[in-house]
Amino acid sequence: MKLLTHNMLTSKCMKGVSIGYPLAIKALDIRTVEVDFNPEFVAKMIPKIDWTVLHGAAESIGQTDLPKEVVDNYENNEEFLKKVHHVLLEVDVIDGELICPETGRKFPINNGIPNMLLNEDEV
Amino acid sequence: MNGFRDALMEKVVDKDGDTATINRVVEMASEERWGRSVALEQAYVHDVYEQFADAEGPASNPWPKVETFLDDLEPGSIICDVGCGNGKYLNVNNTIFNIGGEKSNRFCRIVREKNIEVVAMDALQLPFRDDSLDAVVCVAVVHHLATTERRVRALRELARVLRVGGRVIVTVWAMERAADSGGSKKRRFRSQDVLVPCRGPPWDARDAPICCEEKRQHKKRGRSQSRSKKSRHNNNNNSTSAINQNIRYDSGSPSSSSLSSPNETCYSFVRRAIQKLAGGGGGSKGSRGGRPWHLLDSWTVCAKEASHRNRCDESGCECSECALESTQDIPIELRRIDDEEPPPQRRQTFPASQLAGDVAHLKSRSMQEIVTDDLDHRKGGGGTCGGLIQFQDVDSIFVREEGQVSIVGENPSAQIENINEAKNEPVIQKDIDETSETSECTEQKEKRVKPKLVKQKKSINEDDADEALDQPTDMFKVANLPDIKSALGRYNRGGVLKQRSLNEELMSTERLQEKERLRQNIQKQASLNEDLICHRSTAFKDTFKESVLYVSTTRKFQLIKTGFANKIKNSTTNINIEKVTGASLKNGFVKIFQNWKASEIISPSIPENTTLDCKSVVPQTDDKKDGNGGNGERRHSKEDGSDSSKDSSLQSDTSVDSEDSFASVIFVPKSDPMSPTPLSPGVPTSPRMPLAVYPLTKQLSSPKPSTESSQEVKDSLRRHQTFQSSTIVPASKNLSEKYAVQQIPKFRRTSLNTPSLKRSPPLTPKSPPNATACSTAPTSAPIPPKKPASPPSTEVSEEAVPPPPPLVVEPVSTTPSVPGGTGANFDATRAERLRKIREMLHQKPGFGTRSISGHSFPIVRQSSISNGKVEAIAKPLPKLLTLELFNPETDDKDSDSSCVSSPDSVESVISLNSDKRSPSRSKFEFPSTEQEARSTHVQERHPASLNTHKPLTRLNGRSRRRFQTDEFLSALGKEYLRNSGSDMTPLLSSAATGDWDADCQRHLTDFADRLSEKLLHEIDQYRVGTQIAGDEYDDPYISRLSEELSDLSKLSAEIQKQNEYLAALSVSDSLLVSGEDNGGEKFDGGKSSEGDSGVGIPSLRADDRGATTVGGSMSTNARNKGGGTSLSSESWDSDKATYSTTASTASLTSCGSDWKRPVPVQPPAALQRTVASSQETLEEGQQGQQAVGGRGGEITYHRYYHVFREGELDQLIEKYVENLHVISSYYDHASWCIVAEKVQVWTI
Repeated sequence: MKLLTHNMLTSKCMKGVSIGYPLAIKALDIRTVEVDFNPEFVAKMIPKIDWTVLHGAAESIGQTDLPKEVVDNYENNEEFLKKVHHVLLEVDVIDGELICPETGRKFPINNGIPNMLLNEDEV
Repeated sequence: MNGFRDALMEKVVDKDGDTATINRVVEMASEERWGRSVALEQAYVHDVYEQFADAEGPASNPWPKVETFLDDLEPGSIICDVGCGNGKYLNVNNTIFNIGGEKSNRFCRIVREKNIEVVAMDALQLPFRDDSLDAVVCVAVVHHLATTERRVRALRELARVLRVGGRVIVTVWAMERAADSGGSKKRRFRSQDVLVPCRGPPWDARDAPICCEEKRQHKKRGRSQSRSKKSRHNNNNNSTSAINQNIRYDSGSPSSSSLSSPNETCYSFVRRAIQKLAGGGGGSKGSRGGRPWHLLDSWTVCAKEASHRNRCDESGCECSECALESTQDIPIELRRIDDEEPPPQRRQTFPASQLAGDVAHLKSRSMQEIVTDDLDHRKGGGGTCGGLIQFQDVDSIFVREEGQVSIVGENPSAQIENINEAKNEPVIQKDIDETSETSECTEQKEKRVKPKLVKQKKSINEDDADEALDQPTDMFKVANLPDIKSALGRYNRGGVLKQRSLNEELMSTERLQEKERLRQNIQKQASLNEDLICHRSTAFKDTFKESVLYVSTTRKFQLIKTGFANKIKNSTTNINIEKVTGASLKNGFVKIFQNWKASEIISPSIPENTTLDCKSVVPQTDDKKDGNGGNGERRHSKEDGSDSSKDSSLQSDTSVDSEDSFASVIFVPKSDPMSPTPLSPGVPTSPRMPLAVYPLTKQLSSPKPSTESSQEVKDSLRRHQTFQSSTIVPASKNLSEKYAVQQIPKFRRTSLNTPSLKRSPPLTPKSPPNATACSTAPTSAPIPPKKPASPPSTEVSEEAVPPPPPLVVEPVSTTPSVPGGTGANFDATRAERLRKIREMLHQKPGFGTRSISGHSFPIVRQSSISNGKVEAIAKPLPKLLTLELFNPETDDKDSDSSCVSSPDSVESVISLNSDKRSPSRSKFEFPSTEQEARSTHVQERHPASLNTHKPLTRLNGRSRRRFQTDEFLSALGKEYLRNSGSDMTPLLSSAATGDWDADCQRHLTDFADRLSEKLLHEIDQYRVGTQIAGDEYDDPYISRLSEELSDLSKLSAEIQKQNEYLAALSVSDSLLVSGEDNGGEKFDGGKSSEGDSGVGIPSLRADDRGATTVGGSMSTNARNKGGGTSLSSESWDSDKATYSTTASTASLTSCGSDWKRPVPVQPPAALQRTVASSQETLEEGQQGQQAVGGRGGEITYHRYYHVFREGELDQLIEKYVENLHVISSYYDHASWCIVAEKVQVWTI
C-alpha cells in the first residue's frame, strides 16, 4: 500500500463512523520500490491529497523528509516533488494494519494489500 | 403443484396488492432479503471468483471503449477500478494513479503481483474519501448484485467517491443482445436474474461449442419445452419451498453444484459427501453451494436449456458474450418472487418509484409467465399433477405421462424434445422418466394427487436429512397400494436422480457435450420409452408390468437404483421405524415384499414365481443353466477361467439369489455344528463371530431372517411357499448333516478352535459339491430360456424375463457351490428358495434393495467361499473362483434386470472411487471371514490383518446399511467420511447398530457367519498346514490354492480383458472409476453392477493374486493369511498397479458387464445406456479427476448475474443516483455501458 492510496482510504463506510479518516498506519514491513519520477504527475497529485494526512502518515512510518506544509510553487520545486514522489509512490507498506481513528477497527495489510472489507455487521 | 401455484398466486397477489402491505412486508423482509442477497452474492459471485480455477483470470482483452475512457483521463488522475478482477484496466494508462479494488483475495494477489496498487474492498462500501477520485471504472460488477437496492447502493458509492466532474464508467450485462451485436443471438436471457455457469479453464478448450442452430431449435421447440421448463420451475419452487421449510440456512453447505439444484439439501448432502470422499477439490467450492438455494426461497430456478451458451464463461471476462458464448452450460434463471419487494423499498427510499414499478412489472411478467406455464402445465398434466418431485425431469415426466399414459397431452415429440433438451441428463432422465412413467401409470391408476408431491417432498427432504421416518408412514398412508409405494419409491429416487441430473446438466458443461454426443442414443431410448409408454397406455396393468420389467431391463441400473432407493427409503423408513422399535430389517423387507407382491402380484411376482418354480424343480437347475448358456457371453468369459460349472456358480454368486443362497447354505453348515436347524445359524455364528459380528448375528439371527424372508416371500407367493419351506428345511438339514460330518474331520486336522473347524468342514463339503455343482451347472445353463417361457406373464415376463434368467442362473450356481457336499438336491432346493427370493427381490425393487445388500454380501461370501474352498480343497476352489468372477458380471446383469445391484453398486462405487475403499472392499470380503477367524483363532496369527479387516467389514456394513437406507450418494459420502475418518471401531459399532439391523444385519450376519466359517475353515486349513506339517501340508494346499488362484487369475484376466474391451468400447478410462461415482448416481444399476463386479473381481483378483503371489513367495503362514485376509491385502499391494487398474477394471468390468447385460435384454437401449453411462462416467471422470466424487456441479461454477434490460441501468442512475449525470449510454460487448459524470447537486 502506497501512501497515496492510504491518503484516499477511510473507514467511513463502517457503521457509526462519520469520517473515518485518516487511518492510522501501523507498519510492520515497509519497502521502497523504485518508481519513475514524473514531476508533472506528482505535481498533479499534490492538490488531490490531504497533505496533512500524508505528512502524518509519512511521519508514522519514519518518512520525515516532508515539510509540514506544501511548499509554495511546488510545481517547479523538483527536490520537493522528488520527496513527495518518494513518499507517495515509492514507500510501500507491505505488512501492517490500518486503524480506524474512531472505532479502532484494524484493517490488516497483507502482502501490500490493505483489506478494507467489512463484515456485514459492521456496515 | 397446488402448493406451488398457491405460493405463486400469493406472490402475484402481493405484487398486485396494496403497496402498504407490501411496504410492511418489505420492511419486515428487508433485512432478510439483504442478508439473502449477501449470501447469494457470496455464494454465486464472490466464492466463484475466489475459487475460479484460472489463476490468471480470463484472457479477455480490455474493452476498447473502457480503454478509451481511461486514456482520456488527464494525467495525474487517481482512479479506482472497482472490481478490477485481474487488473487489466489498471495498466492501460500509466499517467494516472490506478487503484484496484477487488473483493476477491485471489484477484487481489494477482493484481498485486503486477505491481499495481490494489485494495481489498467491497463495491458497496468503497473505502475512499468522498470526492477523492477522478474516475471510477466499474466493469461487470453491478450486475452481480442481487437486488436493486444493492445495485443502487453500489452506484451511489461510485458517485460518492468521485470528485465533482469525475467520471465513472459502468458496464453491466445486457439481457437482450442488441441487433447490432450480430446475427447470432447466442445469448438471450429469459429472466434478469440468472445463474450463469462458468467452466473451469482446463475444460474450456476441449469443450466443443454447441451449435447455435441447436440452441435455436431448442428455442423453437416451443411450448412443450417451455412447459417443461416452467414445470421445472414449479417443481423447483415446490421443492425449494418444502426444502426451505424443512431446511434452515446452512451457511456452510458446500456444493457449488447445489446452485443448480433447488434441492440443495439432497444434492448438497450427496455432493458434500462426494466431495469429501473425493478429498478434494471441494473445500472452498463447497462452501458456496449451500446458501444460494437457501437464499432462493423466493426464487425459482430455471434452467434454460434452450439458451445454451457456446462459449466457456471466462472468470474475469466482463463481457457477457465471452462468458455466455463460451459456456455451453445452461444458465439458470432465477426468477424472483421477491423482486417486487425491492421496488417498494425503492419507492420509500428513493424518489423515483417509477423504476421500481417498471422493474416490478418486468418481474411480474416473469412471474406471470411462470404461473401461466404452471397452469398450462397443469392443464396438460391434468390429473398427473401428482408427481412434481423431480425438478427437471418432472417436465419430461409430465409430458410423458400426458402423452404416453393419457395420450391426451403433449406430443411424444415434445417428450423427445424434452429429452433432447435434457440431453444433459439423458440417461438419468430416461431412467427416471421410465420409472416415473411406470410410477405415474400406477399413480394415475390409483390417484395422481397432491399427496404424491408431499410424499416426494418428504422423500427428498428425508433423503437430504436421512430422515425417512416420516416418509414411510406418509408413504404408506398415501399409497395404500403396494404398487403406489413402489412407484413412489421409484419416484423419490427418480427425483433424486433427476435432481442430480439437473445439477449435473446445469453444472457440467462437459456432460452437456457428452450428452449431445449421446443424444442420438438418448433419442432412441426416448423413442423406445415412448413406444413402451404408448403400449402401457393401452393396457395400464400390462403396460405397467412391462414398464416395470422393461424399466428394470432397459433402464437397468438406474431404474433399479431408483427403485431400490425408493424401496430402500421405504424400507429404510420401515427399517428406521423398525430399528427404533428394534425390529429387524427383514420385517421391512418382508413388508415391502408383501406389499409388492400383494399390490404388484403383477408381472414381477409372477415371473419370479414361475422362475422360482422352475428353479425349485431339480430340472430347473438345468433350465437355469441353460438360461446361463443363453447369456453365453458372460459365461464364456467365465468359462474360460473355469468350467461350465464355474459359470453356473458364478452366475449364482453374482445375483442376489446367490446371496440368499449363500446365506442359506452357510446357515446350514453353521446350523449343523451350532444348531441343527438351518434357521438358527446366527446362534452358532454368534460365538464364532467377533464382537462386531455378534450383534449383527444376534439381532438378525441371520439364518432365520433369510429363511423368514424367503418364507415370507413364499407366503406372498403362496405358490412357492410349500416348495420353499419343504425344500429349504430338508436341504438345510441335509447340508447341516453333511457339513457337520465333514467339518469334524477338518477340525481335527486343523486343531484350531472348534468353530474354525466347523467352518472348515462346510468348506470341504462345499468343494466337492462344487464339483457336483459344476456338473449340475452346465445343465443349469439352459435355465434362462425356460424361465422366460415358464413365467405366466408372457408379455411382461418377456421383458422381465431377460433379467430373471441371470438371477436364476446365479442361484443355481450358488446352490451347487453351497450344497457342495450334500449334493445337488439340497443345492437345488436351496437354490430354488434362493432363486425365488432372488427373483422376488430382483423383480421387486424392494427385493432388489435387499438383494443388493445381499449382493454385496454374497460377493464376500463368494470370495470367502472361494477362499474357503481353496483352503479346504483346492479342487473345488477354481469353481468357486469362477463363480466369484462371474458374480460381478452376473450381478451386473442382475442389477440391470432387477436393479438389485444398486446398493452393491454403491458400495462398489465407493470402493472404486477411492483406492482406499477398494482395498477396504476387498478386505471387506475377507473381513467377515476374518472377523470370524478372529473370534476363532485367526486373531492370534493376524490380529492386525483382522483388525484392518474388521474395520473394512464394518465399513462395508455401513455402506450397505447406508445404501439401503440412504441414497447412494449420501451413503457414499458418509462412507467416505467414515473411511476418511478411518475409525474402524466407530464404523463397526455403527455398522453393528446401524441400518444393518434388519435385512442387512441378517444378510450380513448370514454372510459373515458363512464367510467366517469358510474363512475359518480356510484359515484353519492353512494354519494346520502351516503349523502341523508346514511346508508339506502347505504344499498340497498351496499347490491347490495356487492352482485355484491361477485359475482365478486367469478368470480375472479374462474379466479384465472383457473389461478392457468394454472400456475400449465405452472409451472408459480409469477415470471411469472416479467418474463412476457420478455415474453411480446416475447409473446406479450400472455402478452397482460395477461395484459388484468391482468388488467381486477385486476380491477374486486379490485371491488370485494372493494365491499366485503368496504361492510363489509367501510362506504357508502368509498363505493362510492370504486365504483369509492378508492375502487380499498383499494381493492388493502387489496388484496396486493392477489394482488401481482393478478399480478401473472393476469399473470397466462393470461397464463390460453392463454392456453384456444390455445386449441380451435390450441390446440397443441397454447398449446406448451403457455407452452413455460409460461416456458420462468417462466425462465425469475427466471432470471428476479433481473431485473424485466429481460431479458436474463441482466443476462448473455458477455465477449470479442480474442482466440489465435496455435502459435499466440508465434509469437506475437517473432516478436513484441524483448526482450522477449520464453522459453516454451504449451497448458494447453484450453489455450496457454508461459513462456518467458526477455533478454538484444543489439542494434548496
